[in-house]
Amino acid sequence: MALASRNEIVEDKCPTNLDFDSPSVGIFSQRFLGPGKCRVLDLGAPAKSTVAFFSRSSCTYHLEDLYRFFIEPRKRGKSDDDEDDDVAAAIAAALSYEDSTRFDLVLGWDLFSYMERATIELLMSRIARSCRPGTLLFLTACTGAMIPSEPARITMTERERLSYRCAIDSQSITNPRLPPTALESMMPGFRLLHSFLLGDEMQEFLFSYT
Amino acid sequence: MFKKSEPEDGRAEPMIHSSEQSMLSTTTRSRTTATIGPSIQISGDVTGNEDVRIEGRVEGTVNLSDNVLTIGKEGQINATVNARVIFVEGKVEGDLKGDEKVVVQASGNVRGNIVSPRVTLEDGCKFKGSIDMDVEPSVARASGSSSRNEKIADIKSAAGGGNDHSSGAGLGKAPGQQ
Repeated sequence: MALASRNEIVEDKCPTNLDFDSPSVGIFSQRFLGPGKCRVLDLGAPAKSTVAFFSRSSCTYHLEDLYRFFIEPRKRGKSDDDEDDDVAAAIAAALSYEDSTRFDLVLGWDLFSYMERATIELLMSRIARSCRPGTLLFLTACTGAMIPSEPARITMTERERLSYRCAIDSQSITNPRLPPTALESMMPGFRLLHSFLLGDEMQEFLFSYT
Repeated sequence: MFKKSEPEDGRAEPMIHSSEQSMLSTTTRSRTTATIGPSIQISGDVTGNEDVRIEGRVEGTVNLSDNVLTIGKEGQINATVNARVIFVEGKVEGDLKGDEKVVVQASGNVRGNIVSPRVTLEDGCKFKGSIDMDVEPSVARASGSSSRNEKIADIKSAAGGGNDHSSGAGLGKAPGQQ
């Protein structure tokens, strides 16, 4: 099974460096980053400002860097005929938590644009085991026709703002443009809470686990 | 009223010139750093009362609870680590407990869990694991300061200066819309 067979490289423009307000960050900051402990699962890459953001609260922050440790190696080293159970086993190994672990917030950023539908289903099925009712899933997406060939570095900065940076020499690939309904169908138990169209060809989604 | 106190026996106190005082305090404050070089491999426990820089390989445990540990770019650690401050420039497989802070530099590569009140992951570093920041620095505990309340105040400030988002304020205008 291919993890990202859509990545035909084409010459076109896609978002590069943006800074934008994020209503979703405001919502989950208000909900989780107050008194009391929260548990955050970040599927993205290490980012200084994001860690600093969560370090202001009493939280446990799990960082998986899914692209570097799971998606990208498989793109490089595996052929298209991998079996589903291999991917499932790899996901289970990559995301191994104690049975009692329950996340309050999952940060998926733009990673779903770089995974096949089946991979997203397996991933979210695994993550759902560590969610509780009310767990929020935060996703970002570009609305344009093209996206960078690798996930952008999206980080939280001060006061409900996100910074979006992609590699200067990054090529563009076709944007799969997954609508919320398609995302919901891949993630049983998650329902769309908010969808924000942010301008500059950026969109963000906040899902809640029921 | 402002008379200097004198020793009861009337003898003058030993005088220390400012330069000597400076030297004395420098000597007192100076921290020596022991370096475990790149050709050295240690299997077992590393403990001590001075700062340590590891450029070699260590397997086991490292316990420097009052000191600074730097895992240099050549350093490779497969150990459970406890130190006051931990800087990671090299590779670590194992859990890190920093009583004050843990900093993973851009060249750092950590697979393990971090427990520390202050954690910095520099952009570009490799990290896979969890970070537990629900611990108070020992210094704060000693002085009785309430870092938790300060943290909450910081969060409110960072979350929009106390604006209420729970009533839908978070659905406000998107960037670019006036």
